[in-house]
Amino acid sequence: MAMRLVCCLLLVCLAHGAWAADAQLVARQSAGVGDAPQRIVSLDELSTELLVSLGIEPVGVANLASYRRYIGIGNDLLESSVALGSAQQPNLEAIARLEPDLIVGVAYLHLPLFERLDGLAPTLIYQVSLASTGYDGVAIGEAMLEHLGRLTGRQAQAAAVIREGRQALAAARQSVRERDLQGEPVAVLYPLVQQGSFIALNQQTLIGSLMNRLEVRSPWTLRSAHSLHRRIDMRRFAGEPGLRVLFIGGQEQAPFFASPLWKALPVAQQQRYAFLPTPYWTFGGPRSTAAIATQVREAIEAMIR
Amino acid sequence: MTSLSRPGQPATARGLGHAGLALLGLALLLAMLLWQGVLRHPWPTAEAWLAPLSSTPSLEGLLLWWTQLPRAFAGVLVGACLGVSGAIMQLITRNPLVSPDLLGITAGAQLGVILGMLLPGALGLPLVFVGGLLAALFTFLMAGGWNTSPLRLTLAGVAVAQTFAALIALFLSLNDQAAMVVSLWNTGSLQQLGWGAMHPALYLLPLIALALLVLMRPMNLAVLGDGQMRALGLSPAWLKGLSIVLGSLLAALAIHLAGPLGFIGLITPNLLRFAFAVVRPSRLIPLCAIWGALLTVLADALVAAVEPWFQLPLGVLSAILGSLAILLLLRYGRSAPVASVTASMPGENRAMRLPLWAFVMLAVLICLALLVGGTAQGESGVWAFWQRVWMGEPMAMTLLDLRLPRLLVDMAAGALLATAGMLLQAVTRNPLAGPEILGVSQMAALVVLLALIFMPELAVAWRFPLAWLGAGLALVIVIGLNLRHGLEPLRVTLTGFAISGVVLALVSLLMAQFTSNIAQALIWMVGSSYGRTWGDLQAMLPWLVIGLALCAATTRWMDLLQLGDGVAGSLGLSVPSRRVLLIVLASALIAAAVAVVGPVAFIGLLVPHGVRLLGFHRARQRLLAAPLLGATLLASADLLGRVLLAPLDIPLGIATAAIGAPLFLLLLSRVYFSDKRS
Repeated sequence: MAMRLVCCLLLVCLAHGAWAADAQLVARQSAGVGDAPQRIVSLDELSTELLVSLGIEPVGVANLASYRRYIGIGNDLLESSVALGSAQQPNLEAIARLEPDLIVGVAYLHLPLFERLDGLAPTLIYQVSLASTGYDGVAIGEAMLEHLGRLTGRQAQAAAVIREGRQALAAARQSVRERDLQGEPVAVLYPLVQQGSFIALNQQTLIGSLMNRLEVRSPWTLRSAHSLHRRIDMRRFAGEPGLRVLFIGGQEQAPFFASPLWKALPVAQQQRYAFLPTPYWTFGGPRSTAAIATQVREAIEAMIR
Repeated sequence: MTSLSRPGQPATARGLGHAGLALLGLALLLAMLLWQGVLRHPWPTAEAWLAPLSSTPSLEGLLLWWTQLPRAFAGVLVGACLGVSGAIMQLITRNPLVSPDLLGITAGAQLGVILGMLLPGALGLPLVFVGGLLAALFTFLMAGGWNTSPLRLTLAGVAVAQTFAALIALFLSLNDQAAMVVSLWNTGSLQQLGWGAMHPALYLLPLIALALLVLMRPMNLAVLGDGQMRALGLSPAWLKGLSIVLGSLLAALAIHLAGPLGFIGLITPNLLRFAFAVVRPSRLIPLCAIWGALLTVLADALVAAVEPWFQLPLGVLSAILGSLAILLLLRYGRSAPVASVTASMPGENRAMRLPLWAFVMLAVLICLALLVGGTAQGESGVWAFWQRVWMGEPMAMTLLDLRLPRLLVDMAAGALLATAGMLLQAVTRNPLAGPEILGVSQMAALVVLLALIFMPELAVAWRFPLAWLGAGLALVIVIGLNLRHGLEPLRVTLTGFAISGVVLALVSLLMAQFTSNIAQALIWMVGSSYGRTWGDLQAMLPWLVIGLALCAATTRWMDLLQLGDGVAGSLGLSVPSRRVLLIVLASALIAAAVAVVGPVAFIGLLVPHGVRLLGFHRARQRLLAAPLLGATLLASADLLGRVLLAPLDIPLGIATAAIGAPLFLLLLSRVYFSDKRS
């Protein structure tokens, strides 16, 4: 009975989610947002990347150490930023002490905190999520950057950064065309090297939506907009003709890739795989798009046809 | 205190004899093995079968020998290990509820996985294995080593598992990528790449089997109790120690291969005991190996069968099937095998005694000090801070607005959970009955988590009714299934255990597949009072006031229930209906706390013990002492979590475990539950 009830509830929730989702950019914002803010606090990596892309030095940054280590875009602008703890539970007292005039966050992390944050400073929460009806990973970064650029009077910088991302995308697409890979199966997978299976990611993630723009075909799409990934077992992986794979997760050295089974797979025998060095792939701004698109282009160019 | 066996009854009372049972199990297992390993895939060519002998094997052959067959055989190994491990653990603790999870092995293994990821240099070491064994060893030592008693062991296991779980949540909330991998591992899978992971089993299993063979006779005597064993010239301490080592080795082997599938270990011995009346350990243990293997391969075949439509992780399926089986057994099984886990509550305590008024004064003073000091924490001085507040300085007011409601919410939640724990322990007469035991807090948290994931826009506004809905749902199941049996304590406990098993499995499924924010889901499921407002406190207050007032009206029932059903009934108490009322009351209290801070563990489990330890035994005394102690404990834990790694804000549930677990283990090892008594 419990199961049935839970399932019903789940269905109701899903249906509700479907109605509620709408392609909006700002999930919630304080009334005071928009007066050329100077002291800005960023509550997550995506917002931090966008702020530094515009040349802004955020006064406080959540997940600061992890941003510096894994993303590192514009680290020089973060030298005097105050660390605010985790993105899940940014330190509210530290934010209050900074007396910011704008707090930037994202809906999937910070929407429940809106009232609290709004009480501290004008707050802007962007509608970042993996729902299929919203902006996808590439588009949300561009839209947010444009919006932040307008808000801070840095439209020119925003446009330049967006252009940079699109150029890298175009170069990667050109590479795909030159190798006649349009419509061909190219998958971005996270290998589970202990089990010999693979994880396919949601299409709305940064890397998923980036691949969609390259006109290649993703052989394994996710069934629900709410699911984050999907397991692909070895037999299915082996059975996909003409497959090319880009691996994420930095497991190049795993014994799996030296096993006889791996070496017997068509993908391995024809050298149709590569490892993307990027340590992040779920969300990111145009500069992340440019970095990953360049990695994808280089990987595709290095593959044997 | 407990008897899993009924010595007077012939062991093969019903239907099949033991040999028949073994043969049936083996035949079914062979059939399933063939299906899982070969038949459900395209039939391999002769060349594929000979692949291991070939220097240039075909892809088909490699797939057969590197994935299909290892997966099927891993199922057999895992199932046999878990079945036997569960049987041994249940025998030694004389508690049919015990599974490796309860002794902390799974949590230890999980921590091993994470450490393996965080320390790339250690990848060579089988950390999963080491972690599981260390956790079991730690549990064993904490429980008093060789002289452990079943109850101490179980209690120590709960504490160790909770502590490890909190540590895991802390690590994962700091490392998103590890969180993703662990959340996938956490759902359990028999998928293998080659036979490498099975190598440790190859060396260890023959040794373990030999040891078990030697221990078979003493184990048969173990069901008679420690005293009888001593009289027969056996050392119970040695038997317990050896059994724990063997049981945890087996469990760690299984976890190493497949991730957590604890329910197989719980369900197999119970199935054999309840459905086939196998009770003699020397028969039960080998049969558990066969039937555990069969159940595991069967579950994996089911997972593979539904795979084209729905990706159902094996761990989730095993938890659901295990729980369903428990519920079915409770519904239709004969009542005889239900052993009483009603442990001896500690009676008079000689060590400490504080007059109630002194304790109340002290606790109130500590609460006030926590509020005054905690709110001013990190400022130049307590006095100076409150002066600034008095002057209405904006920054001081902002800090006050951030800190005071949070501390008050902690205190309210602590009081609610502690009182609920006290009620539950009175109702079930089981010292292990925390709010977690009925599955109420987990179910409440699960429903809120569903909302957080699928409709985050509404989750905040609706979490109260949602938590209540979840708590009510768990309650309906618990009561609905047990009303017929007069809410017998063990049945209620088993039902709650089954519910929490399903909830935990569904949570790991949700985390692995649906949430884009695993860390946040983890924090929610471990409990946190971060960012709570005056509004939250306001919403909790009516529950607290009305709930405690209602509790005050039930003190006589609780005192009578402590005396046992028979005595309580003969003194004019309508036992079943009073139990229902107390359970309803307890779950309302739990729902109120969970809606705001999540399912914070330890408070409901620990505080009633603490109160008893302080020398308060009458319900009226405890009703005053428990909420105060709960409030103090939770507020101190939160304060600690806030300052320890600032600016990082450690979630409340993690801090609670950090304070609660050592405290509990200290009590356990020092004064609580002396060997003779239990």
